[in-house]
Amino acid sequence: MNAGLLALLLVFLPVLMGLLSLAARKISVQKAVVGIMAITMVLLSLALFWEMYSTGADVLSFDADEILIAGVGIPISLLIAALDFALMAYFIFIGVQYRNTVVIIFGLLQLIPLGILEAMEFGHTVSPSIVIDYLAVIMALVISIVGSIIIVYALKYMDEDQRQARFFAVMTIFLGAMNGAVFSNNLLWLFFFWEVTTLCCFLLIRHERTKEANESALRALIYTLGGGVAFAFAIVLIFTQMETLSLEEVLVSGGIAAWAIAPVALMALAAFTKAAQVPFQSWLLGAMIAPTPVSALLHSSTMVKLGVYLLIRISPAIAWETSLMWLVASVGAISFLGTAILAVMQTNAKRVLAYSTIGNLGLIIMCVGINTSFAISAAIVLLIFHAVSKALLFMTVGVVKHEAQTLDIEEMENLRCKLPFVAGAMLIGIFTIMLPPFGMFAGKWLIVEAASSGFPIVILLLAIGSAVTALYYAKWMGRIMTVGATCDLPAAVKSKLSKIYKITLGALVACAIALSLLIFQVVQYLVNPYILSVFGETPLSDFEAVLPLIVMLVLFGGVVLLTMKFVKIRPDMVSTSYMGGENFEYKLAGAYYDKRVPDAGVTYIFNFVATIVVVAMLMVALLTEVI
Amino acid sequence: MDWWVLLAIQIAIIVLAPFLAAILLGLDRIITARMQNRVGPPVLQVLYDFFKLIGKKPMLLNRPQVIFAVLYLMFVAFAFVLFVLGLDLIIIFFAAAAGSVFLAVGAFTVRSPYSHMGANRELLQIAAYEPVFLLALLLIGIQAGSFNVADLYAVGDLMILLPLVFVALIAVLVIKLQKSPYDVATAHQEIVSGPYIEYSGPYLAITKLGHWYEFALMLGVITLFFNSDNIVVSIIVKIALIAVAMLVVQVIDNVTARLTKERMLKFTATFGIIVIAANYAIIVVLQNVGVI
Repeated sequence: MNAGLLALLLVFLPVLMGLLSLAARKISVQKAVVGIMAITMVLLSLALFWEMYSTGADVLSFDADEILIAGVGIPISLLIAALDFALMAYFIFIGVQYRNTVVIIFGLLQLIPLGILEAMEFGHTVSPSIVIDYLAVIMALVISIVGSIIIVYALKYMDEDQRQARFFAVMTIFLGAMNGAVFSNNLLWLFFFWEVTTLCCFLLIRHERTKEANESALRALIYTLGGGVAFAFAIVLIFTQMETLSLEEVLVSGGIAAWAIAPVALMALAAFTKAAQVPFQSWLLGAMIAPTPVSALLHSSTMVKLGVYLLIRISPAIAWETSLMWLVASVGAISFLGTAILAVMQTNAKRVLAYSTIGNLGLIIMCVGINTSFAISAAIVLLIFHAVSKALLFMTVGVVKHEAQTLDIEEMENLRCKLPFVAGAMLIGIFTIMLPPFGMFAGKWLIVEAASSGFPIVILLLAIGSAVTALYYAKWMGRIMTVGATCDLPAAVKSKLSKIYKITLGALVACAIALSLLIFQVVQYLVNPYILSVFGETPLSDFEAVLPLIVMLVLFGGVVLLTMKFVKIRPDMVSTSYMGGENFEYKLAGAYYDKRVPDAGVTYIFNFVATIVVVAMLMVALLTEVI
Repeated sequence: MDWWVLLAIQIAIIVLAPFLAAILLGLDRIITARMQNRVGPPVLQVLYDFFKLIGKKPMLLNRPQVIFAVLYLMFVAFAFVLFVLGLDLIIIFFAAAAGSVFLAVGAFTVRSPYSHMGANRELLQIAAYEPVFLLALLLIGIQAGSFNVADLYAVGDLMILLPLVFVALIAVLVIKLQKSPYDVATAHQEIVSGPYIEYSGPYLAITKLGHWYEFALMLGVITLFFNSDNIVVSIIVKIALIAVAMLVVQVIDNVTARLTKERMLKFTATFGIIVIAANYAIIVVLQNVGVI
C-alpha cells in the first residue's frame, strides 16, 4: 500500500472509529469497534514501517490537497483551518463556562494571530504537506501500538463507567491527532493537531466530573494552552520572516533569516509545557486524578511525547544557537534532578510515576540540548523504551488499584503473592526503565556525550539524578517483593485476573523484553536511518558496543530463572527474621525518607531555577535578533 | 604476547582477584587491631570464614532473597570481568551500580526491620557515593581521551593531573568498604550489619564474594592512575598507590565516629563534588594557559 495512504488512515481511522463508537448505542458494539480499531492501528503502523523499509527511502513526501466529501473536493487546508477556528472558539467557550479568564485570554491569543495568519497566507500552499521520515514512523509505531494496547486495557478498566462511550471516542481521537501531528509538515496542520491533543487531554482529565477532576483538567488546559500561544506566535514569526509554513524548509534554512532563533525558542517553550518540564510540571501531577488508562496514555505514547517529539524534530534548529542548546539541556537536567528528588519522598505510585515521567523526558530534552548524533540517537531510544515501560507500569498500578484498592506503594507489600502476574509485570517495567540495557544503553551514550562535548553542569545534575532515580525505584521493587518464605494466603485474598489485563500486560512485557534483546536492530533499522538523514553519519553501527549490555540482560534472566529452579525451600531450611530478641508487630519503614524537606520547598527551588532558565532562553532568542 | 597467554592471565586475575582483595581486607583488620593495641586475627581469617560459610547448611527466609544476592554477585563480577577485558569504563560503572542496587533490593525482600533499615541506608549510601564515583570516572575518561580501560592503561600521567580525583575516590572507598564515618548501612552496633543480616551460610558467602569483587574493582580503578613503560616500576607504584589509599582509609576509620546519614550525604555531595570540580577547573586552566 502507498505510504501516504497508510499515514492518512492512521490519522483518520481512529477519528472515524471514535465517532462511530460514540454513535453506536450498545456498549458491546462500541467495544467491538474499539477493539477492531486497535488491531487495525497496530497492523497499519507496522505496514507503514514495512513500506518505508522496502522502498529503502529515508524520507517520503506527499501532497494531500483535497478530500472528497459527498463528491465535492474540499481543500484539506481549508478544512483544518475551519476546524482550528472551531477549536479555538471551543477553548474560549470552556473559559467562559468555567469563568476562567486565563483560558479565555490564551484562547484569544491563539485565535487572533491565527486569524491574521490565515488571512495573510490565503492561497499559500505548502508542498509537501505530509512528510514521513523514520522519526515519524517511530512515533507512529509508538502511538499506534502502545496507544492501542492501552485502549484495549481500558475496555476492561472502564467496564463499569457511566460515560465510557465518550471516553473511548476521546481516547481514539487522541491517537489520531497524535499521528496527524507527527506526519504534518505544514506548520498550521501540526498546530491544529497539537491543539486537538490539548483538548483531548482536557476532556480525559475531566472525565469523572468531580470538583478535583474539573480543577486538574482546567490546570492542564491553562498550561498547555499557554504553550499553544507560544507555538502560534512562533508560526506567525516564521511565516512573516521566512514566508514559508513548511517545517522542512524552516529546518534546512540554516537559521540565517532575521528572527530565526525566536520562533525556535518559542517552539521549545511550547514543547516544555507539553512535556510538563519544570517549571510547568504541575499540570501532569494534577492529571493523576484521571482514570489510570488516561495516565498511561498521557505519560507513554501521547501528549508529553508530542512535546519531546517536537524538540527532536526541531533539534537541527536548536543547534543554530549554542546558548540555546545550553539552556534547553539545562531545563532537561533540572527537571531530571528535581523530579528524582521529589519522587524519593512520595509513596503514591501514580505520583512517583508522574515524577519519573517528567524526569525521563528531561533526559530526552537534555539529549536534544547536547545535539550530537549520539545524543539524538539516545533521545529517540529513550523515547521508544520509555513509552513501553511507562505504559506497562501505569497499567500494572491500575490493576493493583482495581484488585487491591490501593495506590500506595507501602501497601503493595506482598503483591508478589496476591497478584503474581501483575507483580512480575511491574518488576519488568521497573527493570526495563532503570537497568540494562534500556536505561543504561541510552544513558551511557548520553553521559559520555555530555562529558566529551563539554556540558559540565549537565553532567553533574545527571550524575546525581541517576543515583537518586535508582533509589526510589529500588525502594518500590523491594516493597512488592517483601514476603515470607511461601505464599500461603487465604483463597479470598487471591484474585483472579481478567483476561484482557493478562493479554495487554503480557503484550507490553513481550514488547519490553523483545526491544531490549533487539536493541541493536531497533537502532539499526529505526533510529539510524533518521540520524543518517539529519547528521549524515550514524554513530552506532557495530554490534560490539551493545554486546556487554545484552550480556547483562541475559545474565539477569539466567540468574533469576536458574535460582528459581535450583534453590529449593524445605521447611527445615526456613528461618525467621532477626528481631533483636524482641517480639513485636511492626510496619515496614516506608517513611524512611520522610518529608523533613517539604515537597513544596523543593518544588519551589527547582521551579525558581527553571523559570530563570526558561526566561533566559526567551531573552537569548530576542537578544540574538536585536544585537 | 600470545592470545592464549593473555587469556590465561585474564582468567587468573578474574578468579583470584576477589581472594587477593579478601587478603588485603585481612591485612586491614590486623593493622586496625594494632592501631587499637590488639593482636588481631590471622591474615587469612577472612578466607577461613568464607569457606566455613560455604560449608554451612543453607538457611533462608525466601527465594527472592537468594535471587538478588546472586544477581548482586553476578553483576559486580561482570563489571570486574569487563574491567579486566579492558572495555568501556562507563558500562563497567553501570554494571557495578546495578549490582549494588540488587543488594539493597535483596535486603528489602525479607520482612525484617533491621534488614529494611539497612537497605534504606544502603540506598542512601549509593546516592551519596555514586555521583562522585561517576564524575571521577568521567574526568579520567575525558583526560585520557578514551573510556576504554585498555586505552587508559596506556596513559601515563593521570596521577599528576588528577590528584584530587584520587582524593575523591578515597572518599568513595571509605563508603564502599563500610568504614567509619560512613558505615551507616551496616552499622553493627545499631542495626546489626543491616542489609546482610538475614543472609546466612552459603548465601552470606555469596554476598561476601560480591563485596570482594566490588573492592577489587575499586582497586582496579586506583591502578589506572599510574602507568609506566617499565613494567616493574609500574607494578610497584600501583601497589604503593593501593597501600596509600588503604592506609588513609584505615586512619579515617580509626579516628572518626559514625556520622548520621544526612551528614554522609552532605559530605560527599559537597566535598566529593567540589574536589572533582576543582580538579576539572585546574585542568581547564592549565589547558588554556598552554601548560598541557
